Amino acid sequence: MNWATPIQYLRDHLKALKWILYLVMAAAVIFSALIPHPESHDPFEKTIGIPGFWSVFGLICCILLIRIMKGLAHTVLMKKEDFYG
Amino acid sequence: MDKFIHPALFFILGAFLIPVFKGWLKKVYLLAIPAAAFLTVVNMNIGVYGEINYLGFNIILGRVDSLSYVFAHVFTLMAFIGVIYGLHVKEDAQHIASFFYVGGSLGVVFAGDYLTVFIFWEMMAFASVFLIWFRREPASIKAGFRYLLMHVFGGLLLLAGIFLHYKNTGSMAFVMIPKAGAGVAEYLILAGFALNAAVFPLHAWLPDAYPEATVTGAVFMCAFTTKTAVYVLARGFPGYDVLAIMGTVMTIYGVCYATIENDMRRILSYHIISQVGYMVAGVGIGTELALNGACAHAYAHILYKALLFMGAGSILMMTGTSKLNKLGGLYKYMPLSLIFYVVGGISISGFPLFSGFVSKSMIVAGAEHAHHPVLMILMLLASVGTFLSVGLKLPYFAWFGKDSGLKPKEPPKNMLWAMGITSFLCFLIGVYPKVLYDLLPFKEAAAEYHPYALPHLSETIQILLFTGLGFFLLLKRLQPEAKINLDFDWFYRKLVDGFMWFDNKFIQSFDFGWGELYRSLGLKAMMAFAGFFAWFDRWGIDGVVDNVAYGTQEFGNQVRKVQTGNIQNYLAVALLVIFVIIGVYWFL
Repeated sequence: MNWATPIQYLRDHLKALKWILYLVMAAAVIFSALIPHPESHDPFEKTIGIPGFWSVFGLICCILLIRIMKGLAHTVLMKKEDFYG
Repeated sequence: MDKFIHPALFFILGAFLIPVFKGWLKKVYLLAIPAAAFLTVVNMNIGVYGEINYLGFNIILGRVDSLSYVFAHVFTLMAFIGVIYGLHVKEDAQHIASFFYVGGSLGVVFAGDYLTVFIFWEMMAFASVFLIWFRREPASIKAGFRYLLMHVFGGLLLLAGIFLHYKNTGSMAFVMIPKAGAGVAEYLILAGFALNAAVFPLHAWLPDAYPEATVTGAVFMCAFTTKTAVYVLARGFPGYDVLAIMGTVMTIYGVCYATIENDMRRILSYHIISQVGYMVAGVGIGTELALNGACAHAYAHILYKALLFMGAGSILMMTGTSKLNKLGGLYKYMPLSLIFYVVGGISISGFPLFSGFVSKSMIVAGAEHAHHPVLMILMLLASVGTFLSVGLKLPYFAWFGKDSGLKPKEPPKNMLWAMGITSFLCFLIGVYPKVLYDLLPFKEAAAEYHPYALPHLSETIQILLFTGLGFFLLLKRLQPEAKINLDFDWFYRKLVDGFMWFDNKFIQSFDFGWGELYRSLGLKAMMAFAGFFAWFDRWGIDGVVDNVAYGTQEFGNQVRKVQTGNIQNYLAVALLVIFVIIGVYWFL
């Protein structure tokens, strides 16, 4: 069996795949609003119980991580491959 | 089983016989050793075995309890998988090095006293460095020496701590050290352990050395050194706040560097730091749930990290490079490796149904239940970075992305089998976590924990999905760059450079000056001295010896003249002498 076939199939239908993923994202946020959360007066527990909180968290963290680290890399950390000789 | 057979024995003694076998028999033998060790561990009974009194020290070779059991279980299992992955390797020495390495880590796991810990600890360092050197690239040789340098340094910290601890307490027993009683000695031991766990800022040896190891060697290395260190930390230092904080720092530090790294195996190495960070934090939080989590995560991590290193190693072996900027479009040629790699990638990222989901969440929940919301949030931030680098960036730029023009084949069958088996185990633990939870040290806490609770599912799915969104939004910014990144190894590389400069400048010039001084002054004095003795020898000693010889010769000459050979003369002389004697006798 050629294992590349199913992968190629997914690649050929990238647009459909994208839309499916958008729908799954929306479903995930709706799902977070539907599940029961334990009653709590703790402000931290309350915050993380907000529907879609972790979606925003994931997206923001991802963007910040890339932006900050690429910024640091290009200013300080990144050196030529023969830097240490 | 009533009798205890130390599983390390299989590896250490077994290593000597590897060169004896040839062909398929060697393969069977190589597989039989870890299989026998694994079965031995599975059938072990709790207890203390192999107690020896040596020079007044109580040596304990075989402490079997629930903590050492779970680590020995995964170590022997991993050794079996690692051997499958390396079956195609022809060089016996590589197998021998990895067997000694595994034997060392098993020795540490079952050790009940610090002396035994230390001996096996050093054995691991000295066996594993060969897994780097056997790649035989100039960069590997250098990296190996740096690796050894750091581990010898860590070993010395540990040894200093052990001696001070023994001086203070009079005991070599390796047991939990209460936080209140910890002084300089105990923190030295902790630092020695922390270096092997790659705790920031003692971590730089790991991403420096592992990417330079052999393809199969790296698979072994990623499993044993850091997890042995997690074991000893869990044994000696549970509940230390410093570990909870440093562990969380590690989780973030690792993912930050992995985001900007270009070398596949270096990305994975930074993610070892990050993942071991979860375990160190779990040990530091120190509750039953968190300690269970540390053990569970060590178990799951060994499998999926080995799987990831196997996948990246396959690419390195088949294409000759592990640099992402040179790779791309491999999915057509290495699809099976991709599938197995992705299983590892989603396991480490903590996708539901895969092993990371049921193990990492235990530590995060441990932080939440122990009221450390900051640690919890930072750990979840790290899991964003994990999925970003290991789950998305690496496979995207290696197997998809731009077409690199490379047309490699899939790796040898044994490597695919090893990846397949490990993938299955990652999946099995994910869907049936009981197989893992039953091994954990705190059974009740493990039974009470349910990873597939709805809030946890919701939280994980959201984080992962939206990390994916962020990745595709910023895909252009993540393009791999053919660069290296400064890390703490800069300090010791510079320290070594500084030492070399000092050596060249001062020590060498002193050496040179001393040589000059010796040549001009010392040599002259020596020559004069020698000249005197030559003279003395010739005119003093030789004179005496020679003159004795000359004297003897001359005397001989004179005697020769007397010895004429004429009987009459002899008789006349003899009679004369007789008369003289009689005359003398007479007159006296």
